[in-house]
Amino acid sequence: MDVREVKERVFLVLVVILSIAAVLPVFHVFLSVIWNGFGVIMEAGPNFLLDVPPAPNAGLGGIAPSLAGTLLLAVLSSLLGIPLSLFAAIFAVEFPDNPLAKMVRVLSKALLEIPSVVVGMLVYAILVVPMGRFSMLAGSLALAIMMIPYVTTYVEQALEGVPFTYREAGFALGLSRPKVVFEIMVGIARRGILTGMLIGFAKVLGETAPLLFTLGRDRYNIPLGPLDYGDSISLLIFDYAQTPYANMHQVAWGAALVLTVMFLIIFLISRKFTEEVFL
Amino acid sequence: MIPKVDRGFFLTLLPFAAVIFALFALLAYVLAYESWPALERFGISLFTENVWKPSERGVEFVKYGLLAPLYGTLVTSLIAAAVALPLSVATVFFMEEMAPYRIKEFFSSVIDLMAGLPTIIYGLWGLEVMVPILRSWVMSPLHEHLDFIPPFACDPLSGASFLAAGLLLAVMIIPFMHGVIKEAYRQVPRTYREAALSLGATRYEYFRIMVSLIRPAIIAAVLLGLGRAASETVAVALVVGNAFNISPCLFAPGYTISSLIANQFTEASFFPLMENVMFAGSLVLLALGMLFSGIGVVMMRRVRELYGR
Repeated sequence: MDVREVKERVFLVLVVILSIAAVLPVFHVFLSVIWNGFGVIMEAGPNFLLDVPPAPNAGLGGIAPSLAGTLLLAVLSSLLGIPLSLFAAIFAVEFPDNPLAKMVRVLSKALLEIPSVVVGMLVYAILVVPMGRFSMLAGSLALAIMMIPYVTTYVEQALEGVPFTYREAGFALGLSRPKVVFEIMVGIARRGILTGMLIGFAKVLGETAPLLFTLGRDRYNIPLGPLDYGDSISLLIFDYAQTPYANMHQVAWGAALVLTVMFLIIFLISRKFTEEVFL
Repeated sequence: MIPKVDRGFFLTLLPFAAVIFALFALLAYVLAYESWPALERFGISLFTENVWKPSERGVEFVKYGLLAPLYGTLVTSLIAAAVALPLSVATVFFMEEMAPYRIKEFFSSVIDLMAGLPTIIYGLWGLEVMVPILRSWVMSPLHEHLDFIPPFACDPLSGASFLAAGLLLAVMIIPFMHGVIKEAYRQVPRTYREAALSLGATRYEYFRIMVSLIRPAIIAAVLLGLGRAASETVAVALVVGNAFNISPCLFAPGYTISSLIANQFTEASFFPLMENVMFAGSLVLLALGMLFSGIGVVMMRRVRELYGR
């Protein structure tokens, strides 16, 4: 074997090793979450989803308020963020030559560059301080801002993927612009749009940093209104992982398993959608 | 100009677009307004000194300098990008050129999962699983045998350190850098690839040619990865150790701008100027992020122009 062949061999082996090294940690993450979380949930039983968190060194309790908070936040932030993103994306796609629309397109992507913790600080400054209290509303607003870049990107792509002839056909039938957009374009692009919504939903489900200074971390009461304090599973994990108490670390692992399962479910559903779109 | 028939539609959609403009306007206003008192009081020393002396007694007693968190942000992001770059390039080459279809599909699902997994899960794993492993298998042996090298000179106390944060960030930015490099890699025209192979290039030589063809994208991936790593918050806050520390030793605990904010912003309103200092820190973070992603976007555009698609 000459030098070139040896080099090639070494290189190919190295590529395989590095590729495996790149994805190995995430398997370890999953196994650790399942291993640690499953034990905790088995020990705590179904009460893990129904009970309030434990006092230090006093059993396992549950994560009900945080779980409810996470779900409510995801819904509330979707109510705020999805219509906004959808209409902003339609605006950007429908008036491609308009300078305002071009700016919307750039800025909705640029939101991705704002660190999530800064989004939290922004909402703290514009909503929490003036209102004088943390609230589910403030948390949802922060999450809605996080969701905009993802949803707009997907919706824009989906709408642009609709062949021009459908639009022409709509106009030829004498439909108005809004009718063509909402009844033809959105209808044809619905899978892509749904995927975008799901991705946005999945994204906000696990966010932590935007909630640090907006939500109030009330882990003992289920939030009943938008002005109540709330908590999320991610915040609970963040705080309990930093406590010195063994039982709270266990609760954090159990909560991590719950969050991972929720994320996986949405991930699998959105995968199904995209597969059907692109195949 | 918008045609008259469309004007109503345009005006109906405009408010939604305006919300996005308003968000940026508010962000600029809030950051400028909130960081001004800190910038005015401490001037450039806010970024060149390492002091953290909060006081409840009054403005005259406090003194802040963000050098340590800036240093930590820089070191951890650089470690992350340096580790993630070879791994991302390898996965791109492996998936595009070597792996059979099924394995390729599997890898691409796994990388999507990595990208979407909540960061707090990485953080918990980093704190409870990765840090102890790193400490006993990497840091301690290196410290014992090579402690004359400055980066290994200090005893890894808890294991939470610059190195731990950098490595955890590397895992988190791999899917992101992978995506950037993959996009460029796929744009290299087939004729170039065929030309290289028909000259009898080995796959190693072919790889080197391909990498040189997408060099701007590799620079873009590094810059965008750095920006991502610098803005990551909660996972880093759990593993970086949270200490105002400027040390060449990678095993020492440190701080980053975002982890400082995550840990101390909630109590900051009790101390004069502390909130303002943190807003100034986030301003730096945002400016750096915008700069990096700006250059990154320009680089990616260059690749697209080169291969015209």
